[in-house]
Amino acid sequence: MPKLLIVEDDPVMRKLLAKAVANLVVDAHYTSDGLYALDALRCNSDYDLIITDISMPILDGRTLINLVRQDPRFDHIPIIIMSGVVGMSEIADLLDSGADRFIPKPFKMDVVLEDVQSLLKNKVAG
Amino acid sequence: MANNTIATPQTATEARITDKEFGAIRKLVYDKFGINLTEQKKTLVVGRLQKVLREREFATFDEYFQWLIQDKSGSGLDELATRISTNHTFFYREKAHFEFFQGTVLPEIHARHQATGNKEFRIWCAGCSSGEEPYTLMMLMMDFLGSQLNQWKPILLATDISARALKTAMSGEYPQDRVSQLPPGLRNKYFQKTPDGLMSVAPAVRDRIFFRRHNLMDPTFPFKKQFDAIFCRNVMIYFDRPTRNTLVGKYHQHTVPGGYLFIGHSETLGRDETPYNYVMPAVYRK
Repeated sequence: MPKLLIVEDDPVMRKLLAKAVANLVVDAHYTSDGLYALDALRCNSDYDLIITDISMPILDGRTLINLVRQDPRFDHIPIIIMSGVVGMSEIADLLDSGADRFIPKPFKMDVVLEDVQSLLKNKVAG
Repeated sequence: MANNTIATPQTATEARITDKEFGAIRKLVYDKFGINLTEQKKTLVVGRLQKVLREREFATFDEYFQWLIQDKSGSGLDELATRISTNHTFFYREKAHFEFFQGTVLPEIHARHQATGNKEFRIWCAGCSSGEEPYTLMMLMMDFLGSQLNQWKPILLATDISARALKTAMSGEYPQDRVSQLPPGLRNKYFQKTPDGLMSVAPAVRDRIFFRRHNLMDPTFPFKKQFDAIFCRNVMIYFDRPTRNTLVGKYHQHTVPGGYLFIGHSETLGRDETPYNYVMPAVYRK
């Protein structure tokens, strides 16, 4: 079963994301900050996908992407980044820095589902 | 005249430490944790590690050391860090700091943020031990924000090198005598008594704190955003001067302009040792 790491500090958003992936056959793990996400990855580098918020209290999504992409143990894991408050140029920067997809918030369930499925498929195919 | 020294109970099984053994442990502790065990700390080390040797059934410090360096799980090193660095502490220890935090630091952050629209109060307890300090600071922040709490975001990162100390911290349960120094207002509002007679920190306080294991000797800190105040009290006493200076330099980088560094009352930073400005004993400002 593919393993998902969902990094989101807002409990309401976490619930919505859980709902979005509920119908997929995935093993979803949740953490409330980029710092805890790093710990989770260091313990278990076999995640198949990371979905992360940008703005988080201690370690933000941008830094998380950079750290993940620098570490050979998990630099291959696809990342979806989500935010409600960034402009086009920033989205381009995020994608340049190593995010595979950007999903604006508030998100549509089917957009999340589509991106998750497509990135997990790539992973299996790759 | 009464003899005011307290005799340490000696048992037949108590291991003695040779200079070579102490040297080896000293180097390991310095390399791994940056903690400088001077010759004066030898008795303390022997005393604190005695129980470990007994529990793990090592006859000598050398046997213990050989096991430590081969232990891949990291639990041996964690236990060592805990034994060497953990001090008995209680809520509201060195209370002048908490009063200053409440009366000066919090109103300053509030005023600064009202001007910029920033909603976060960002505090880091580096070396939080068993959690008394971060809980007190979070209670003070919540109390200060009062009915406006929902409009603000009090963020507190609490780190320690010892996983064992963090586990105690995260449980948020303390014997009653440890909370006796807290102002009754805070104690009544933010603690509940457990059926076992322990004092348990309210979940609303506990859930707001980010507890995390962190070694201050890591070359970089993975947090990007700066903090309004950093508390590193009674931690740097274990570090030698160069290590302390490097660490204070790193704290400075992670402090917002106008933000504070709190150290222990028994610690001092010389003028040439810190880029911070002196405010009052053990309090510095960027």
